[in-house]
Amino acid sequence: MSDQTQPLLAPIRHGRPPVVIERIWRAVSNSLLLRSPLFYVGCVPVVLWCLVAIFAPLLTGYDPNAQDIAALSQPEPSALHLLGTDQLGRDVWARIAFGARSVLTIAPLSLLSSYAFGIVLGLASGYSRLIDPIVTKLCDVMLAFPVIVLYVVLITAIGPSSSNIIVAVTVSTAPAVARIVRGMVLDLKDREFVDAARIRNESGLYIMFFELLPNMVVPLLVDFCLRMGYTIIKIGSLGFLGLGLPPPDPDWGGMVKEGVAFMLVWPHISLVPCLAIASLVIGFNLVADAVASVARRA
Amino acid sequence: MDIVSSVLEVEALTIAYGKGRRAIEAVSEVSLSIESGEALGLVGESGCGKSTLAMSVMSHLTGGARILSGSVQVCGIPVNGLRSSALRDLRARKLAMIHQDPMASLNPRLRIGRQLREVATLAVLSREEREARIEHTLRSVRLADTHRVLSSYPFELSGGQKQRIVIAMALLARPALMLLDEPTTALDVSVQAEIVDLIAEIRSSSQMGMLFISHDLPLVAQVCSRIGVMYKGELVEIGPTDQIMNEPSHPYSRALLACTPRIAARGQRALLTGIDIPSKVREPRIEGCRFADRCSNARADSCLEEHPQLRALNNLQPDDRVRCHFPITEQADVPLQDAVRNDTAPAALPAPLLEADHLTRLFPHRAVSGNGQAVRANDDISFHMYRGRTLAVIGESGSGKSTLARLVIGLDQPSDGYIRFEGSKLPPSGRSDKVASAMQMVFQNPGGTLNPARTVGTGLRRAIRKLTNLKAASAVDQRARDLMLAVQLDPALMDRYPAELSGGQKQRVAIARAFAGSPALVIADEAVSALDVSVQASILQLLKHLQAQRGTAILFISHDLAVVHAFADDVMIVYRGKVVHSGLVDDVYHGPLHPYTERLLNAALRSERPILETTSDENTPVTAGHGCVYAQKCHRRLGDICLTVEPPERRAAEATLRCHILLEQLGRLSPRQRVMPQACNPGGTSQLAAQ
Repeated sequence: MSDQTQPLLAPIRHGRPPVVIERIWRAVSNSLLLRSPLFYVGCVPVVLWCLVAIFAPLLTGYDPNAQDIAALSQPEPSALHLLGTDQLGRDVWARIAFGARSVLTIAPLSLLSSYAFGIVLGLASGYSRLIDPIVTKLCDVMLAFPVIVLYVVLITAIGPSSSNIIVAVTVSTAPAVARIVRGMVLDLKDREFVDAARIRNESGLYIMFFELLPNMVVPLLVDFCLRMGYTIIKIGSLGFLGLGLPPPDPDWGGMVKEGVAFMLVWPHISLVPCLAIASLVIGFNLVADAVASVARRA
Repeated sequence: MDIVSSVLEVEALTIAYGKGRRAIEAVSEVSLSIESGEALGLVGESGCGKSTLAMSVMSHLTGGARILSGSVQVCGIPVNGLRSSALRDLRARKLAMIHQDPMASLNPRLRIGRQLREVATLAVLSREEREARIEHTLRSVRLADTHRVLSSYPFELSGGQKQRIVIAMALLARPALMLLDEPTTALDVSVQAEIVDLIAEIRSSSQMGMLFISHDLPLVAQVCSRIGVMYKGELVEIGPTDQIMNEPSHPYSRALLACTPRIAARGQRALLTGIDIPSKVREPRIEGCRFADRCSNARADSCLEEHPQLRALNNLQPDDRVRCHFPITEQADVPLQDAVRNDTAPAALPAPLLEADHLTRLFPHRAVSGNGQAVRANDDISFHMYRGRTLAVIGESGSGKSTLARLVIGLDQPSDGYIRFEGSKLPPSGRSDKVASAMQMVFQNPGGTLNPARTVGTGLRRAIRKLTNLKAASAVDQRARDLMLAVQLDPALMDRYPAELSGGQKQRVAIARAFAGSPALVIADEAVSALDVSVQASILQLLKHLQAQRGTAILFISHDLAVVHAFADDVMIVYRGKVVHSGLVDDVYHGPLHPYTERLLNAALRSERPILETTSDENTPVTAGHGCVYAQKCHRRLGDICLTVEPPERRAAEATLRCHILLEQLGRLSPRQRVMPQACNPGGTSQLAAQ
C-alpha cells in the first residue's frame, strides 16, 4: 500500500520551513488548487481589486474628495468621468479605487483580529473544562444578539472610525470562530497523540498551540476565505447604515447609501459600488469553495 | 466452464483505482472459482486487494475503482455491466455480504425485526411463511430468545449478537454465494470463536458457496477447504487448506505462516519472524516478482526481472497453483525457540521497578450500571513489575485493561490504591519530568498516535528535548537519527508526515518516541493489534530487541493469548476489572486453568468443539463485591457459593488464581491442543506433563 502511493507524494526536501507555511506551500504545490478552474475564476476579481487598491493614485487623475462643480449638473458617466460623478460632483471611479484601499485593509485586519481572539478563546474552552462554560455562555450571548443591533450599539458607543469598525467586526465574528475551533478541539483532544504529549508532561499551552492548532490550519483557511466575503458585506452594511468610515473618506457602503436617494435619476451612483462589493464577495467565495474542495480531497 | 455448479467465476480480473498514469492496480489478473457448497478463503495483508475483489463481486466498487479487464460471473450471470434492476435482483437473491463491523451493518434506528422482515420480503413469501423463516433462521444462528431479539434495537444487543443477526440477514434470502469480509475482526476473542464455529456449521449444512476474506490464516483454515493467498493485488498461491497450512510453496505464504503467533508447549516460545522491511524507502517495481523485495529466496536475475506466472506446482496437485520462480517444496516447520528468558520466581528478583497496590478505579454510576452502583473499571489490582521483564495484561473489551494502563501512566487517577515507582510513591496527579521520561507509552492506533500536522522528525525531536537533557539542535538531531535507526527506519523518513507512512512504520516511530528518554518502563496498550500479522511480528521482535538492549520493563496490554505467550514473561488475566488469574506465562497457560482462562484459551486455540456452552452474550449486570466476577458466565459454576462468596486465592506453581473449585478439578490444556496450527512439533509432547 505504502509504496503504491509513493509516486503521488511530493518529493522529500531538505531544510525545513516552519510547519504551517510548509503545509500551505504543499497544499498549493500539490497543484490540486492550481488545477481548480474555480480558483482562477475566483482569483480574477480578488486580484483585480487588490491591484486597483495598490495602484489607486495611478489609475485615476482625480482626488476622491475633490468636487467637480462643472459635473454637478450632469453626473452621468462621460469621457471626463468614466463612471460619472456623485451628487457632490466627486469622481465615482476615484472614490471606488480609494474605497478599495480601505475595504481591502479593514476586512483582512478585522478578520485577523477575529481569528486571533477566536482561536485563543476556542482552544481554551475546548481544552479546559474550567474555562469552557464561561466562554461558551459568552459566545452564546454574543451570537444571540442581532448583528446589526450590535453594530449600531457598538459604533454609536465608540464612534465611527476604521479601527472601531475592526473592533465591531471582531466582537461579532470572534465568537463564531471560537465555536468552530472549540468543536475541532473536542474532536482532536481525545486522539492518542494528545495523550502522548500529556505523558511527556507537556504544558496545556504547548498542546493547544503546537499539537492541536496545526491540525486546524486547513479548515480554518477555508473558513477564513469564506468569511472574507461575509466581512466585506458586513463592512458595506456598516457604511450603508452610516456607521462606516466618517465622511468624506470614500467607503463603498457609504457610497451606496448616498446614492440611494438618487436611485431613479442617477442609478450609477449606488450601482457602481454595489457591483464592486458583489464582485469582490463572489471572488472570495469562489476561492473559498476551491480551497474547500481541495482540502476535502487532500 | 461448468455454469451449473460454479457459483462464482472470476476470470483474469484486473481492477484499478484512479485513471491514466496515476492508476494503481488493486487487483491484477485474478482468476478463481467457487463451487456451490464450497468455501474459499482469501488471505493477505491490508491493501492486498482482497476487499476490492469482494466489492467487485457485489458490483459495488467505490472510490474511483474500475474494472480494467476480466469478468466476474455469479451463477453464470456476468455481474459487470448488468442493468440496475437486474443487479438488484441478483444481489437480493444470489448474493449476501457480511462486513467486518456489525455495528455499522445494522440501522441503529430500526428494530431488528423490521430490518429482518425487509430482507425476507424480497423472497416473496406469505406472511406466515416469512415469520416462520425468520424464526427458523434466528434459531439456526443460535439466537434463542427470538421475541426479545426481534423487538430490540441494535444497541440493545452485544457485538456477537449483532453479528449473528447480520449472518441471519444474509441467510434469509437463501443466497447462492456468501461473501464474508473479515466477519470476526471487530469482535472479542471468545465471541470470535463462537462466530467462526457458527460460520463453519452453516457451511457444512448448506449448499451455499462462501468467499471468506481475512488476514488471519488459521481462522480461514478452520472454515475453508481451499485458500488463496493474495499479495499486492495478485493471487500468489491457491490450493487446498492442508497444503497451504502445512507445506505452502510460495515464500510469502510460508512467511505469513511463520509470523502467525501460536501458543507453544511449556518452556518454549513461538519464534515470530516478521517479513516487514521498513528501513528501505521502497520504489514501485513493475517488472519482476512483486514479492521479491521482501523475499528471502529472491535471486537477482529472474526474480527481479521476470514476472512469475501462476502455475501448477506439479502434475499430482493440479489444484495447488503458485506464482513463484523458486517454490519451496519441503514441509514447513513451526519455528520455536526455547524460553531462554529469566523465568525465575519473582520472589528471587531484585526490588520491583513498579509496585501497584490495590488499584481501584470507579466510574460514577451512569446508565451503564443501572443499579445505582459505580462501575468498577479496576477493582483492587495489585502487581509488581521488574526491569527487563514483560508483564502482559489480558482481557476482553470492557475488562478495564486500558483503564489500568491509563492509571499506571498517569492519564487517569485511581479512586483508591497507589503506585510506587522506583521505590517512591507517585502523586495522584502532576508527575515530575523525571518520572515522565522514565515511563512512556505506545498506543494502539497507529493512525492516531502521531500528530498528523507535524513531520515525524518534529515530533521525535520534541520528545527528545522534553525527555532528555539534550538541548543543542545538532545533538537532538543526532539522537533522533539514532532512534530512527534503532527502530529500523530510514532517518530520511523524518521529513515525512505521518500520513505518508504505513501503519507499521508509524508504530515504529511511536516506539522510537517512547524510547526517546531511555525509559525504565514502557506501556504498550494493544500496540500491535491494529497491524497485519507480518508487521506485528516484526514490531514484537523490535520491542523485544530494545528490551534486551536497555533492560526496559514492558507492560503489555493485549487481548491475544498467542501473542502474549510468545512475548511476555508474566501475565495477568483481567475480567471486569478484577484479576482472576496471574503468574508466570507457562504456569498460567499450562497449569490448572481458571474457568475464564480456559475459555479464552479454548477460543484462542480454536479447538474443534466449543466445549463451553455459556450464555456468553447476555449482558448480565455486575453485582460488584459479592461472589466471583466471572460466576454468571462460568461454565464450571459450582452453585450459589460462586454468586455469593468471594473466591479464595489459590496458588499453583508460580501462578495465582481466584476460584472456588479445587486446583485438581480445574481444566488444563490437553496435549493435542498445545500447538496451533497442527504442524509438526517434534519434542513438544514430551514436555507436556504438568508439574
